Amino acid sequence: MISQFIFHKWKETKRSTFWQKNLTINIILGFFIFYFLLNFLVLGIFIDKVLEKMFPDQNPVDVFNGFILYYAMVDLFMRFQLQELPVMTIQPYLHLPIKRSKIINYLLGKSIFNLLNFFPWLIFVPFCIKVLIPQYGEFYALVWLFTLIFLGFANNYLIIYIKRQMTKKLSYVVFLILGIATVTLLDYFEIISLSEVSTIMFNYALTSPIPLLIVLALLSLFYYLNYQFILDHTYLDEIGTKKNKEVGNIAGQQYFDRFGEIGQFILLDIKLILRNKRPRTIAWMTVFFLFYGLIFYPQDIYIEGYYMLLFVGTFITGMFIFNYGQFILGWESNYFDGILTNNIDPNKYFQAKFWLLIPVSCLSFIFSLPYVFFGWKVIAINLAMFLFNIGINVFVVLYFSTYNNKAIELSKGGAMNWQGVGITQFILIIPCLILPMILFLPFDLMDIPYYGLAVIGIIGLISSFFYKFWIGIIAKRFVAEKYKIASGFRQK
Amino acid sequence: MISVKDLSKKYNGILAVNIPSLEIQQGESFGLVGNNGAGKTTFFRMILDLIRPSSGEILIKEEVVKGNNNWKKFTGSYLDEGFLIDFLSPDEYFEFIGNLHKLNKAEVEERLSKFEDLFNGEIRGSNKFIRDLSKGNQKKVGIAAAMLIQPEILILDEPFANLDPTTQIRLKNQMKSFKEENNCTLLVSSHDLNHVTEVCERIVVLEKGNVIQDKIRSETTLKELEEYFAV
Repeated sequence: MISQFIFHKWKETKRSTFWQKNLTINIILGFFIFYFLLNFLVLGIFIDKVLEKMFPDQNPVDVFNGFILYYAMVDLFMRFQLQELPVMTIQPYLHLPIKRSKIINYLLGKSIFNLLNFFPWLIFVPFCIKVLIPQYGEFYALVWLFTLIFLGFANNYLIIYIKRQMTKKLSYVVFLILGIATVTLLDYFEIISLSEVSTIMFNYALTSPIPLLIVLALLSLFYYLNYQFILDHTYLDEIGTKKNKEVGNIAGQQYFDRFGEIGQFILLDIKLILRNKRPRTIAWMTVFFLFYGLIFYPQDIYIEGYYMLLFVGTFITGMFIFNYGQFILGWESNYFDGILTNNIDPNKYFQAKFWLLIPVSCLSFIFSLPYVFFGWKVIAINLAMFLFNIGINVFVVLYFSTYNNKAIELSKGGAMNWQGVGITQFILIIPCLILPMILFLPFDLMDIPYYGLAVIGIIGLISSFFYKFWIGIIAKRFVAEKYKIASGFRQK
Repeated sequence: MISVKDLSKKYNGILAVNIPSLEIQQGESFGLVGNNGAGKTTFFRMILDLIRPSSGEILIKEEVVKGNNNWKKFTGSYLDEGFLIDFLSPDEYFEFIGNLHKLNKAEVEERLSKFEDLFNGEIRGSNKFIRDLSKGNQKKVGIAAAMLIQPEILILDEPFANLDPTTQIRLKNQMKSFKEENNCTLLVSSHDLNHVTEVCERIVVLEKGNVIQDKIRSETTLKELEEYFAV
């Protein structure tokens, strides 16, 4: 029976339109994942050397074991963010003669097959083979390894349980956050040293099987809790993890009335962002990207050059334009037929999109002003890039968005979500990044970089005054392409 | 009001719709019946410029619909959930649609008051998102929004499906009275022969994209249709 489930799941994946249509994306994604895993493997193989370098007067095993509880906490936090509840469309199976226990075990077992459960192995296994086996022998090295592996699995089921409970009671989240916060604070004020506790616990795992048994007991407990929970809730009206949320009012809604139709479209987009998970994630990413500069500005090699900073400036001030703008039609794929049949002028429709993206970009620039701490140069660059974003890039993005006819499900999370992503997204970003650099190059060669920045900024500013002209071109393309886009959106 | 000229739509070489000529007069109520895959929805989508015809054209008030925005001002339509903005509440949605047609809040309220029977107290003032409504209630929202703009042409695809019997009867009455008050042209497709013959004066049968029958309703129409489909 279980093999049947797996077979069905495989068919579901293989036959999904996303898989069939996006082979290129899958290959690129696969390449990224492979590269990412390779990095971890290399880190795993050389971790003992790294630890010896960083903590020269300590035993690498002690140091490594000292990190494990931190890892477990970060792991919990990451899982809380990233891990989705394992769902199977169990509805079609419930009325068939299949034992519920089988369905539940399959459902729970499936959640183990998650990248988060396996990639730490890339570090644990090489460390175990290279360092632990020679020192502690094969038996205890393996005991240690399995303690860590099962610790990860226990986290897996703990988070699933918490997430399940969350759909009923929010207090579980509060407990989780309070728990992590307490431990962090105790550690921070050195009341309890998490690293010492961790070292003691996992060194013990190298001489005794008791820690392994404790972890196994925890794992079984969390598994059992999940099992019971699902068993108690396999009735159709209780499966639904979604709660019907109430419609909240948007403050200052009347304000948009002043801008007529365009104001109404902007308001609609704001509601779309606030009320749906994926666009909300995009909005948060825009906020996070404000801090992108902190990676580059403190480092001399970057702050002294220009090209990297042009790149950083484009993203800080334009993240929302790129991220939200490239799916500008995709967001509305659910009701695209409604957009097409209602009394909506394509020109005004795109003008509204423009007036949604520009203020956000403007705010990003304003919020990036404290970067003046790293010198006026940063501000000059960001200003030039901001003007270029609102004068050139925004139109490039909107124009290319009409090539994107893949539907987007608004309710799915945004991080690592590749639905709706097509090859155009990769091509699109290139001119947006390269063009300002090309403009800048001759001035850099003549050793008058600030003139180059001025030219970039002025081109952007002047171009932005002609927004109606650019939008006219985009709207024309939209009218010509709308059949293709609409039929793409209808195939979910 | 609506003229169809040499219209055809092919999917992978197979004709889905093939209508050489069809005229729908102003004020007519036009019922489209046919089995699944007969091309009803495709035909409606082409009228609404959602699908590009393989050949031919459709004119509304002597203007080609393709690439034209004028007909949208006086055409209300609801084909499926793809017309509903599902993260809005019904009230927000009505207001949005009203706004597109330059209706103020009071006008929207006044026009919606006529739908109270149909809504059965489950739509207005509720704090639910449209996505959380039942299929039947979603349909009520869509149909009401299409009628809200008091269109000269109203196009509805399968309006009676998914609705409970009481609502079906209420909707039927609503459509009849709406048509009389506004003298609008009504295009309805349905699998329900009873309802469609009651609401529509002209019945067209589609089969594999072709118009097989085109007749004015008479006493015997329902019976003839039942015989036709009883194959």
